[in-house]
Amino acid sequence: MKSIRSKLAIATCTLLSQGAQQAGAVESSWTADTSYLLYSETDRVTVNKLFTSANVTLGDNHLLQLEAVYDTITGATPTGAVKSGGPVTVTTPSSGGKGYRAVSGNPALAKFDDTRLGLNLGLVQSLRRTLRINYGASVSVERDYEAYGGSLALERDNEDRSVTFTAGVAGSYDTIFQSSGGTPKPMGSVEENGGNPEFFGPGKKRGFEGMLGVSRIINRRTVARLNYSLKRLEGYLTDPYKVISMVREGIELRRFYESRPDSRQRQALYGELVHRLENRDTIRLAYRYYWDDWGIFSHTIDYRHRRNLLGGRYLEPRLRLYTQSSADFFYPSLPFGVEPEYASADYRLDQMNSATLGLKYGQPALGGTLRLRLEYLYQTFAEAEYDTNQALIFQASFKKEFD
Amino acid sequence: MTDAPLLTRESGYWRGSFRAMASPCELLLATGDRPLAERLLLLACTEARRIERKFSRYLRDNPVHLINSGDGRPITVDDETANLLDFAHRCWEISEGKFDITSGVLREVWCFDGSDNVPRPEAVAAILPRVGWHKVSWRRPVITLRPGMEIDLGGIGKEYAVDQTARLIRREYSGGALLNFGGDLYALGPRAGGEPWAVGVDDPDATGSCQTGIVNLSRGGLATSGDARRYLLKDGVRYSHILDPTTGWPVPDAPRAVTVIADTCLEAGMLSTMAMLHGSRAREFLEAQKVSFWCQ
Repeated sequence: MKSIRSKLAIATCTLLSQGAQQAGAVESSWTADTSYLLYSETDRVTVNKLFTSANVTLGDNHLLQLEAVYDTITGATPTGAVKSGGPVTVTTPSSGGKGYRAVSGNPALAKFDDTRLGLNLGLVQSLRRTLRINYGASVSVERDYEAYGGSLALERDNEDRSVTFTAGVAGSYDTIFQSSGGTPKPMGSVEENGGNPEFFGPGKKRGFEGMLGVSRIINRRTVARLNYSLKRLEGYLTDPYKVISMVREGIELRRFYESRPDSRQRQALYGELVHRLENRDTIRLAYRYYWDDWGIFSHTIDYRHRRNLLGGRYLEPRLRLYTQSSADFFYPSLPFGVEPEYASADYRLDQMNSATLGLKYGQPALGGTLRLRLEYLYQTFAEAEYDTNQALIFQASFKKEFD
Repeated sequence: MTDAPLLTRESGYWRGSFRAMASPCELLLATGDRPLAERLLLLACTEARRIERKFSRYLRDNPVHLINSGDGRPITVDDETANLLDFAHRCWEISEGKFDITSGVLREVWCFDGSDNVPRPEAVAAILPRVGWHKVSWRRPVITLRPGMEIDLGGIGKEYAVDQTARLIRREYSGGALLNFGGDLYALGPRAGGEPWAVGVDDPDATGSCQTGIVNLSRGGLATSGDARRYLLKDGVRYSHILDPTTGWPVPDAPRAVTVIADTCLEAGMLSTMAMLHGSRAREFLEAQKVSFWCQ
C-alpha cells in the first residue's frame, strides 16, 4: 500500500502555516484599506499621498480590486546643472503656471509642484480550484505625464497548493511633456535663439513586460518565492526637465537639455524567503538583482523581522540596503567641447548607495487593523552635484473587512 | 459550555481543564508559574471555544451553518474557513474519496447508540445522492452545495483546534506542555527534567476505566479513532460508526480503535481516520505510512 504521509504533511503544513484569523468575519464580502503617506526629503521634495483600495467579491468566482491614489509633490529637485551658476541665467520654458521653475539664484535646483491622480482596476477570475486569471488596467494623470497600462497574469497552483506558478504580461503607453506641453530638443542648448530653444511635441513611451514566478511552501515554517521579469521600454525616455552643464575650469559655459537612448531593456531577479521562528516571530529576507542595457546594475537586500506581541499587536523593524552602478551616459557635467549623443546628469542615474531603517507597528482597532510606519532613508551619490539625500517616510493605514 | 476553566496543581506541573467541543479538554504545563498557567489556560479555552463556535454544525450563525443552509446558492467564506475546506478537499483526494466531509447526512439514517437499529438498504440508498465532495463546487473563496447536502468539519475541527492552540501557546511560552482535547493530543515539549508525558491508551471495551497501554509523548501529535462508544450490534455483526461515503454503509472489519503518533495532531487524526476507512487493511495502511501506531 502506498504512503500518503508526505502529501498529508504538506496539506497540514499549508493549513497551519496560513494561520487563524482571530474571529475572522463569517462572510467578508469586501475589504477596504486606506492610507496616508508622507515622504519628506531634507530641503528637497515632499510627497503627500492618499491611497485607498477596496476588494469586492462578485458572485461565484470573481474578485474585483479597485485602487485610487492621489498625491501632491512639492519642493525642489536637482536639475542636473552645476551649482556654481555662471554666465547663463535660465529658467525652464514653463512660464507662470506650475511644473518646474529654477529656484532663484540656484539653477541646480528647480522648484517643483505637481499633483497626480491614479486609478487601478483589477479582476481575479477563478477558472478552477487551482487556476486563476488576473486582469489589470491602470490610468494615471498629472500635469506633465499621462500613463495607461494593462496586464494579464495566470496563476496556477499544484494539487496540494504548496507550489504556485505565475506567468504574466503587461503593456503601458505613456505621454511625457513639460507642463507647457512640449519636449525640448535632446542635447539642444538651453540658451539657443536668445533663450527660446527648439521644442517638439509630447514624448511617447511604450512598455512591454513579461514575468515568470514561482512560490513554494518549503516546510511548516518557510515559504520561498522567485520571480524573473523582463521589461522593454521604447520611445521618449528622456526627462524633459533635466539639463546638463558644460564646464571648463569650474565655470559653466553652456547648458544642454539631457538626452537618453530611445530604448531600455530592464531585467530583474527577485528572491524572497519568509520564515516563522520557534517563538512565532516572522522574518522576511528578500534579495533583488537588477540589470539593464543602460549599464545600471543594482543589488537590494531587504530584511524585516516581525515581532508578534500580545493582543494581535506587532512590531516590525526593517533594514534595506541598496547599491547601484551608474548609467553609461551619466556625466556630472560635460567637459568643454564634448557633446555626446546621449548624456544625463540626473542623480538617479549616478552610482548610488542607500540605506533605509524603519519600524512598523500594527494593532487591532475599531474592528479593523491600524498600521503605523516610520522610516529613514539615506542616499549617497558618487559624482552627482548633490552627493547626499535623506528622507523621512511616515505612513498610517487602516484596513477593515465588511460583511 | 460557559463554565470557567479549572486550574489544579499536580506534582511538578499545572493541570488546566475545561469543556469544549463536547469533550473534556486539558492543558498540562511544566511550570511553577501560576499567573502564567492561568493566562495560558484562558488562551487555550478561548481558542478551543472560538473554533467550536465557528465550525460546529450544531450552532447557528457560523460559516458551516451558512454553507449548509445555502440551499444551492454560492457562499463566500473567510480565509480560515477556506483553508480548512482546502485541507478537506486535499484529504478527500489523498484518501481517494474515502475521507469526505459531506458524509454527515448519512447520520439521518445511521444512529450509533449501541442498539440493533440497522437502517433498511433503501433508506441508505435514498441518502447517497446527497453525499460526495465531488458534487460540491469549491472555488476558493466560494463554495456551493447542492440542495440537501451538508458539510461537517467535525472530523478535522478538534485536531485543528489542538494544533492552533499549540501555536498560540508557543507564542507566549517556551516550556513543556501537553494539550488534550477529548483524546486528540499535542505535546509542546517534555515535563520538567526532560521526562515525557505519559498518555494512557483506552481499551475500547472498557472506556475510561482500564488502559491497554501507556504511550510516552514529548513532542508531536497523537490521535485516536475508534468505535468504543459508537456502534450498532445486530445478528452478531458489529457495525462501526466509520461510514464509507461511497456505499453509505459502515466499513467492514474496521479495527475497534486506532491510535497514531505524527508531527501534528491533524496528521495523527487524519492517519487514524483513514486507517479506519481502510477496514481490514488498516494495519497494512499504517505500516506503509511508517508512523508509530496502535491498532486494536
